[in-house]
Amino acid sequence: MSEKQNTLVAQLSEISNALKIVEEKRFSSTLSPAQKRELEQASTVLRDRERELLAQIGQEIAQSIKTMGSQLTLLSKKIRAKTKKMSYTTQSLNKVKKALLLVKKLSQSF
Amino acid sequence: MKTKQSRVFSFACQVFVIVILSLTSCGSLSKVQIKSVGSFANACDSFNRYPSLLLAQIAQIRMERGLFYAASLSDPQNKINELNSIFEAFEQDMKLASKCDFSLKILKSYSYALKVLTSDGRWKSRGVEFRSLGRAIDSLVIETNKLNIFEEQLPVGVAKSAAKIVAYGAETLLKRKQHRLTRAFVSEADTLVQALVLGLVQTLRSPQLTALIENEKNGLPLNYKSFLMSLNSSTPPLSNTIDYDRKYLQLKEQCSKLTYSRGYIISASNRLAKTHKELAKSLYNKKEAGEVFEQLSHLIEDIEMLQKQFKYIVEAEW
Repeated sequence: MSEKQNTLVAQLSEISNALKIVEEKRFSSTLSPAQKRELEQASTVLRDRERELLAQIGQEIAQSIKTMGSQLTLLSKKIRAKTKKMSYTTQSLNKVKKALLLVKKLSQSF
Repeated sequence: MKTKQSRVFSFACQVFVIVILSLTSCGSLSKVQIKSVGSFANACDSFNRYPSLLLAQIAQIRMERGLFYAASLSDPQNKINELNSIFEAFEQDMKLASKCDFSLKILKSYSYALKVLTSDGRWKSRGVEFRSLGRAIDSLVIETNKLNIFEEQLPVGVAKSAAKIVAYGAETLLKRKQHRLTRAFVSEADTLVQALVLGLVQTLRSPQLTALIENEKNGLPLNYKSFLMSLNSSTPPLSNTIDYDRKYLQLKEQCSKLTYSRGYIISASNRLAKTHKELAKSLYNKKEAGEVFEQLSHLIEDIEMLQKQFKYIVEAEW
């Protein structure tokens, strides 16, 4: 895991802990309405940061999957090209057959 | 003169058949070997979308627990902002999830290419065309004879017979080429398939994915608790929360399934790589075909398990 990925995971853990603390305090009956509002605001800011981190981690995962497999894609293309080439003779035989049938049709008309 | 010609023709045919038979004996794959390639390609076809379904499952749990959190907010503006952010994040998560099927799409495209390459139609069509060409020449000969262009009647049936032999030869040669290519491609692809699956498994086992799963497991009870506390502080407090509790339990079950689902995908991916390795080996050694079928049956079992595990998500999508 790279340093960046390490940081993201560590930050997510920190945010998760901070959210736990804020959520515990947010509903305390000893708080004034202004304090409640402030804590709710703080909680939503933490939730936004949590979402940002989750999105970044998700992108890292998608990226690591995408970087694999370019060589296998090339090989699949190569297989398809060879398969196509194998059917060329059949196509040319078909053309010869059609030409012969045309000659036969013409000779019948004499 | 005619007898001499027919002897020469007969000798040429015999030589041709011997050459073809000797070519067939070396380098061809048995029917079982070809069948195992086809069965592997079919198994690859069924093994799809699971990494993206896992991430989609995580995204759904995240959205649902987000709704519990949003309901716990007292300020209407905060609530609307939160709901909008949940919606945007869910959309983004689902887009991201679809990108995670990349490696499986490549595997699928490779297995499809293999399926086309090993199909009987590749060499059968060539034989059919030659036979049909022979018949076309013969019918032309009959028509020409009717016109009395030549002094002597042209022999009828020779083209048809010759075409039959040529068709057999063409089929055999093409089948041999097809088998040689299959063997070469599967061997070449083996290292790539192993690397691709290893990369996928590493990603699935990565601490990032673990962090995503753990975050949902920890976040769900936290958000539900906030929701319940907000209900208690409301006037009058809502006493009957049975429907919400049921929803919470459903989400909790989904959360605990995430780890198992990840394990099933890892297990099936490893099995897929192992089966491909056995397949590549068996194409050089006919005795090992039995081992491939054993691996294939395990792979199919793993895939069936995955289908069962993700059934309700696929159904929910439709």
